[in-house]
Amino acid sequence: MTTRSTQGPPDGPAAPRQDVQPDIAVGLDHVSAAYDQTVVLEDVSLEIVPGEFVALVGPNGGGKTTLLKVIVGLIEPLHGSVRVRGHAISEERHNIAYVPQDIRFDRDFPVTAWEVARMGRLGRRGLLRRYTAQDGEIVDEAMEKVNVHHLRNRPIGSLSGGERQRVYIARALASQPRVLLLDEPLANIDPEARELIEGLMVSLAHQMTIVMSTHDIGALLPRIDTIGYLNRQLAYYGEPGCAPAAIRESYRCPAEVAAEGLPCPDPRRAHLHEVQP
Amino acid sequence: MIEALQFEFFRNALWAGLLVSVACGIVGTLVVLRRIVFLSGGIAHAAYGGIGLGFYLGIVPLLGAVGFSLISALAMGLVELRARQRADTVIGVLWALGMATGIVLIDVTPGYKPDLMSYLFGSILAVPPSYLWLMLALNAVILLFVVLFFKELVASSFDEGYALTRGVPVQAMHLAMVALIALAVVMMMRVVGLIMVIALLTMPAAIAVDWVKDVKMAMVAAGSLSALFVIIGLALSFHLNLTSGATIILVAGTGYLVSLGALRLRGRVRSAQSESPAP
Repeated sequence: MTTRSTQGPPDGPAAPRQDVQPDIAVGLDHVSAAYDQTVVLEDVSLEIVPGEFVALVGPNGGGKTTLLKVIVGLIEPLHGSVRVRGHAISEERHNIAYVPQDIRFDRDFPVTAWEVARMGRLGRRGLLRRYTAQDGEIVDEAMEKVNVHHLRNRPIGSLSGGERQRVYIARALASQPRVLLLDEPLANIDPEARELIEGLMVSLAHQMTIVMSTHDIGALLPRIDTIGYLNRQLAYYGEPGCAPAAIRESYRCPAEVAAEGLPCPDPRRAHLHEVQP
Repeated sequence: MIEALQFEFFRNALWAGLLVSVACGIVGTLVVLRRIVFLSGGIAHAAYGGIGLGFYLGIVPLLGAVGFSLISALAMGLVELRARQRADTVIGVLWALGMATGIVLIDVTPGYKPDLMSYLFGSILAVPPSYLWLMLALNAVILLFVVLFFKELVASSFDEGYALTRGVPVQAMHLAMVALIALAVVMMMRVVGLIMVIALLTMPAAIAVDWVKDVKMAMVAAGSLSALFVIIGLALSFHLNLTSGATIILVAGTGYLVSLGALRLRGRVRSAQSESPAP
């Protein structure tokens, strides 16, 4: 993998804007990515259709977060190309929203939950324009959807992990995305918050394209269209029902099991590569 | 202090203190929130190179300081963006190099350098009216920038990665921010001196951010506190015949320690309240 994809560079000349729904919401073509000299993502190709609900699973360090960051444009791929709705990411930023796994932040930072959620409107508003009353309404709506509206005036640092996670989801929804990327939205939260977020994911499924990395699919399995098992390479990508038993078993298990990778010896792992769709 | 107001130099000093407090409130709050206090210290000290350059070239030292500070600030800002892991080392190096350049340039400049110490330790009582106009202009630049890009500055300070995904020019914001620091440093140089700039830039803002949970209000509070510290410091230095810059910093430092103590006390009271059984 030393050559760039022939499908056109991601920053090439802008294609004519399409008003119709594109055929592919997110397309990765032979994408590799690295931190410093360490390759964390190798030759990943996939196509996600609009409205699809994709769950990315795999061990820690398997490249799930990197893949999401590559899609949203936070990491430049080493090789290969990424297209979002048929365009380079720079042209589609406003249509794609990212919910990071709990960010490192200053707990004393003087912003309220509502102000954080309103940051989702940044891309829609653009430079030099102030937030409008309409932005406020959209933010209120997003916060209500995620059931954090009652926390709107609380400083962000005073919220629990689960509450903060929901505020970040509200921030993503406030940008009115067509593609929603979530990094471990179910990790490190209490069971009640988990249930709320799962319920939300169920209600959002198929309204927009969703790509979620997780250690534990659990209750969401019936809603998931595609499961991708990522361990540097995309070892499996297809319907959950067709996934090798090891994956299916693993990701209904608690996170600790999944974190160690598939609980199966190498010979069984080998056939994972044959199950490419 | 009222009798001191009859002197023009004292009135100028008060004006300088109030003007510098505007920059302190705005830029200081952003410095504290973005956690770039060390970078600001580097910019402040490197500005001495600009003073030296000004003397050497025979131009107004302050103009040299503005230019040199802007260039060294942008260099440090770029280092922070490009080499995050090593940024503190490189900033430390630039910090010292800037000062050393200033000292050497002054060494090789022929003639007597009368108000050299005033840049190091401040000389608010000797601020000429022309300097007040410069401060007013720099304040206008700072205020205009922050008003125009407030939402981007806050978003990129809170969560840089997310701001980037929203198309906020995060790197340009960072570089603009260091340029603002350079301007604020130049303003504060005459008030408290290069060596103590960092204290006046960060202490009022640090107190404000601890108590006020809104960025704009924190800026207003930091500016007000800065003005208060400068006025009290000036009055004390006038009556006790002390160096004004250092007195201002001691007043600010006392304020900061009192605030820290009060925060602790509040924390204890709150935890005691939450532990006590409900009636």
